[in-house]
Amino acid sequence: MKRILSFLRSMRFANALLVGVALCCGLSSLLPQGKELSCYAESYPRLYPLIYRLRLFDVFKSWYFLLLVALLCLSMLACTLGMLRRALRGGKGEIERAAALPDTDALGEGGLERLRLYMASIRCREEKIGESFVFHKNGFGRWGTFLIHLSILLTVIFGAMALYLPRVTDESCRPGASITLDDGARIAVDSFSMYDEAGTLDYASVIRITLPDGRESAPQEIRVNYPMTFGPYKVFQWTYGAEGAVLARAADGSTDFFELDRGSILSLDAANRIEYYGLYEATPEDGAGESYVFYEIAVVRGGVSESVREIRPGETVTLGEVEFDFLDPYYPGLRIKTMPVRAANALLETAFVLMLVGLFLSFYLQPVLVKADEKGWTAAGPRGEKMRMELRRRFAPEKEEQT
Amino acid sequence: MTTLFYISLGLYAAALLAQLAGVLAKKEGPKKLAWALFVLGLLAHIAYFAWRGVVAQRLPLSSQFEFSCGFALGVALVLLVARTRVNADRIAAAGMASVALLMLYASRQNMEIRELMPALRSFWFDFHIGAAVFSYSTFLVAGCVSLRYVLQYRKGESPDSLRMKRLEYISYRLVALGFLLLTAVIVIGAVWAEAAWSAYWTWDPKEVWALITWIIYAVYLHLRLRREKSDLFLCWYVILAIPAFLFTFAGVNKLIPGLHSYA
Ligand code: HEM
Repeated sequence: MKRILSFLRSMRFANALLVGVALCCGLSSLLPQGKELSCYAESYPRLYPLIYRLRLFDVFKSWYFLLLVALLCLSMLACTLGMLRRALRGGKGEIERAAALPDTDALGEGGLERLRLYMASIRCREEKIGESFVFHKNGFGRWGTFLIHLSILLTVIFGAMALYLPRVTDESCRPGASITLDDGARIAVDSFSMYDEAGTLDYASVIRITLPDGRESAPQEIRVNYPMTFGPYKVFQWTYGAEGAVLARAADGSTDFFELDRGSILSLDAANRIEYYGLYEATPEDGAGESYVFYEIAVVRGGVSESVREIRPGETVTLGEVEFDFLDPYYPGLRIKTMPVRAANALLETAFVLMLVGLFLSFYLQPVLVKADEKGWTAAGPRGEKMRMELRRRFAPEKEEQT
Repeated sequence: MTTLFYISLGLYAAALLAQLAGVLAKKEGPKKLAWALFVLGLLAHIAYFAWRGVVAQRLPLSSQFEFSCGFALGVALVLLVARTRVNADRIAAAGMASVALLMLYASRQNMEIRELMPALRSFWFDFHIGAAVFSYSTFLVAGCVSLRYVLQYRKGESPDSLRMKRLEYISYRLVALGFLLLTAVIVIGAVWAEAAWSAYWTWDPKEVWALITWIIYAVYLHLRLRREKSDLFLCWYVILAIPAFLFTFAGVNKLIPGLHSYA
């Protein structure tokens, strides 16, 4: 058991797993991932059996990749626990142990005093134990490696939760209408625009979310990169679409909404109708100004067809006693993410911060532990390298040449 | 103003030639001239970059041209800082060559200033791309330092000399900084991806190659900590890792289509 644990904890095993994960990543770049199987069969008929058997079309869901990740988690767990134990134990008796270490480098006449001055100048604490001096600082830095590995482990766990638990659907909805989700929640789109006030392309919808229990959010604008969160729902400005739509208003005040497909006919009776040919985009002929969209229609009155016309969104055509308002054809496509475990995102982002803090501690707050006496000095601890090099440069006779 | 870009490119190229002449002739004069030319090139580069930022009203790091131009600027700055630590002729030659080549690559891209598409207009943009530029720059300069180590080794210098130890150590410190920055690039990218695409990670080719690069350097950090491999091995490792991040930077966009294809 002990041998298994020490193998799991070994850096050699960790490196082998990391190389394995990197190789899988490389493998995934050889073929486009996640397409229909028939595409691979058509494009690579000879290699197809291999592609299928090794799941090269979806490497990140293959058994060997998942096994590597599982082993990496296990190895990370084992080594993180070891690091925790070392970090907790490391501080205790560390200074006494350092005081007993043999010197690795000699100090000349007056060297000890100069070394003490130098160590004080870099804000090291000094302890005198017997004949030896021990200088130390940045004890907190020993938590760095523990934090790095713990955070990577947490990233994999919370990352999997944040990635695979939510349900994501893409829906489109006209301004003024709403979408009802399976659980009864409702997302209403109040408005949609494609340009901001300065005329820059910037898709934005104003939406409201109503939870299944009836609680309703205030209206909020969502834009690309700036989604809205309410309850377990996160709604993203995703795409947009264009489709002709008409609001018919009768004399008695009643209204009817129609979506138009190419070739749709809005008939009042056998002799009066509007024939819809399509929605087009055009740029002004002189090239000045922005492009615009228009509806192409023909109106038939009393059985007589008028010539084909362009109608801009917002314009009205009257036929008999009915007014047809041609609406803005654009509508937003929304991405709706339902998150059953809402804390997963916050936990994952905390793990990210821990990772950066751990790396910072590990690289820039390395513990310093130097022992010195009249005869010489030594830099202790697994991170003694920087101090050793600096002290050798300052206190050793070897001349620094141009590097 | 595009002239400023070409002036900068010309000054970098002249600096490289002067540096090479100085190294080959073993004379100090041309090397001093090289640094003067390099600093002038850098000033022109900064001025051009700032002008582009003001005109575009954003950090000019969105297209392949802007990113390569920013990458070259990052390498030039890291090289200048590295020079305060190691006064290094051959590091300078390799570094100057990298800067000049990156500028040359940039000059072959589309230089048009384009409005940022809505998908790129995010609070995270500057941090994500800025960290990437400096991460790649530190990896590249680490490669130059390692190259210097390997050349010295070949000339017969003892790997135990303080100078060789320092060279290897500086290469490691640069990799460590690059690794910290690359980690920031990946986590900021993940947070941004969640806000933009609803998922922290989509196995998009750019993400996958950033992960490969990250793993390559993580393995290096582990190997170095174990102290089982020689300094020479570690320096070769840092040199051979260069294609990985260069592919993440330029190759992925050109060869593998994905969500980052607009970059
Ligand atoms: C994605 C995976 C991993 C990454 C990115 C990573 C990264 C790192 C980094 C950056 C360091 C510090 C290096 C330095 O200060 O120069 C480190 C140290 C270390 N890593 Fe990892 N690591 C990973 C996985 C693992 C695993 C799975 C294990 C163990 C089984 C492991 C064991 C260690 C050990 C023992 C140290 C030295 C700790 C010390 O001396 O304080 N690592 N790792």
